[in-house]
Amino acid sequence: MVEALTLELDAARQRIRYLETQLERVRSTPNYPHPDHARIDMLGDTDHFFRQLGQHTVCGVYVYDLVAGHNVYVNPRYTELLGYTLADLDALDRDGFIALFHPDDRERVLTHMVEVGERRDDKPVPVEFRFRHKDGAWVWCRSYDVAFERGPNGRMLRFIGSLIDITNVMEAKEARGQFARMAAHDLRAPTRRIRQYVELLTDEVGDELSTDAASLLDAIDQQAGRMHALVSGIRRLTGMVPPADRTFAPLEDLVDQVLEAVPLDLQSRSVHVLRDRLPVLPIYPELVQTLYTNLIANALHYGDPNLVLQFTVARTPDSVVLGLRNNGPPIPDALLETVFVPFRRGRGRSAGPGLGLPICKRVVDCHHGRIWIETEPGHTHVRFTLARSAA
Amino acid sequence: MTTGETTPDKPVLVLVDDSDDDRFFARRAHRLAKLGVALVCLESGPDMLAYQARVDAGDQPRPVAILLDINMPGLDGFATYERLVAATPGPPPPVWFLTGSDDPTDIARADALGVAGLLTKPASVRQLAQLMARVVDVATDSASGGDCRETPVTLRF
Repeated sequence: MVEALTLELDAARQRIRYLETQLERVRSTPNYPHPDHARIDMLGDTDHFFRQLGQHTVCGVYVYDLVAGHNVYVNPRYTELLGYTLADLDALDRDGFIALFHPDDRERVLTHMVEVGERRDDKPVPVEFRFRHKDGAWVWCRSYDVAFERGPNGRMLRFIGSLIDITNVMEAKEARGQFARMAAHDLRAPTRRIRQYVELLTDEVGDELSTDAASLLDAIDQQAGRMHALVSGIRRLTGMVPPADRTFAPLEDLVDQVLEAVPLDLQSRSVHVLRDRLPVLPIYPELVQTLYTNLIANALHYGDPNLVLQFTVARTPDSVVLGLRNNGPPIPDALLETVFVPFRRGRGRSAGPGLGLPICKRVVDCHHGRIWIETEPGHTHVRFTLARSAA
Repeated sequence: MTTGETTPDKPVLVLVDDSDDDRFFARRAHRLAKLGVALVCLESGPDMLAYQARVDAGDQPRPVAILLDINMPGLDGFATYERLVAATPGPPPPVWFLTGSDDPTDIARADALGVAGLLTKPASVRQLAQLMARVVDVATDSASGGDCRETPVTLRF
């Protein structure tokens, strides 16, 4: 009995001692930036933990050295994904290493490296690119990079990154886009022909038609027209590819052109246009024209009969926020959540195919910007940025 | 296959389109437009090349303009145009591409080939008649070979 108690006591003492040492370990390491770090120490050998992590993580991990011009560390998973061992990469100079990136992606990757170096908050910067596998095939990668070592002057010397293979995702995306483009293209012809046949039929029997029959033909034509608009929208949405380079475009002129293209609508009703002084920005002008055209079409459709359209601009420390404000009724909360989702149509029988705002969002996405809606009784304000926010 | 009546002295507008429906609309539009030219409808790129060979041999009147559909099975509009240019002595034939889409790659390719123009097929026979009239106007009243792009149908969404 006593013997058993003594054993229990010993075990309890051992357990207390163990916990004390663990506690001491945590206490003696000051200011853990993240609670997980303390937890890692409690697992025991920190080196062992990170070694295991480096060896067995699902991502390729690498350290890029800006002086050497190539990776100076890669984990086994990196070699598995891209084919290169450290020895392969050591044999390359900077140009040789950069040449492994797809020609269309090189500039983006180099800009990305600068961005990683300029980043002071230790947040990883994402980038997507194609990299030539040792066997010659292109591998689509999504990568997160963060500064790893800086010189005395603060210049980045090395960064550490992790990457995953997203080739399947990109191929599926491309195939989906191609299918949608093809389907939209092939659907256009029959819808156009329906409208032409209705037109001919109306001409042919026009005088003999009863009012009912005429309105039925009119309804067929309207539906075919809607279908036509729908397939055009799908093609725009899926076929939208930003050009290689942004150009500095004066938005003043761009909005002038857009407004000129919708004069019929503007003249046929009372529309008052107010304009803030719009800036010159590095953008994809054709896409931004599409964006404004869609926003105006929406405002014309949903806005007040006595429409006031205001082209807004607001500057914040790290971005330029553009927008189009109208004096229409507010968008109901229930609709607000899905306005940027394709095919969720707005109010009323004459509403469009439900692609206007999704196309706007696609344009903004191409610019790495944000788009959102501020709506309350008396006005609706669609606001957007056309650059990645510095924040 | 050639349809539509041609007489040696009457100028000719040629349409090349594989779609029965679109050739039908073209004939109706031609009738509506009351043009001073005859309309010859062809069904394919090879038909067009054969027709051009007869023109070059002096057996057929030289068309004032050729409306050439881009999207055709087999030899498409672009390939037909390239062969036409290669086979025709003298200046390139006055070709206007017809497209059912607003595909930017089509527009870019048509630009690069330097054709007379690119027309988007309208969703109205009346508009098609107006287009034909304009093409015939441009083709007959000027010796203009320059850049006379027409994009009469602006698609809205």
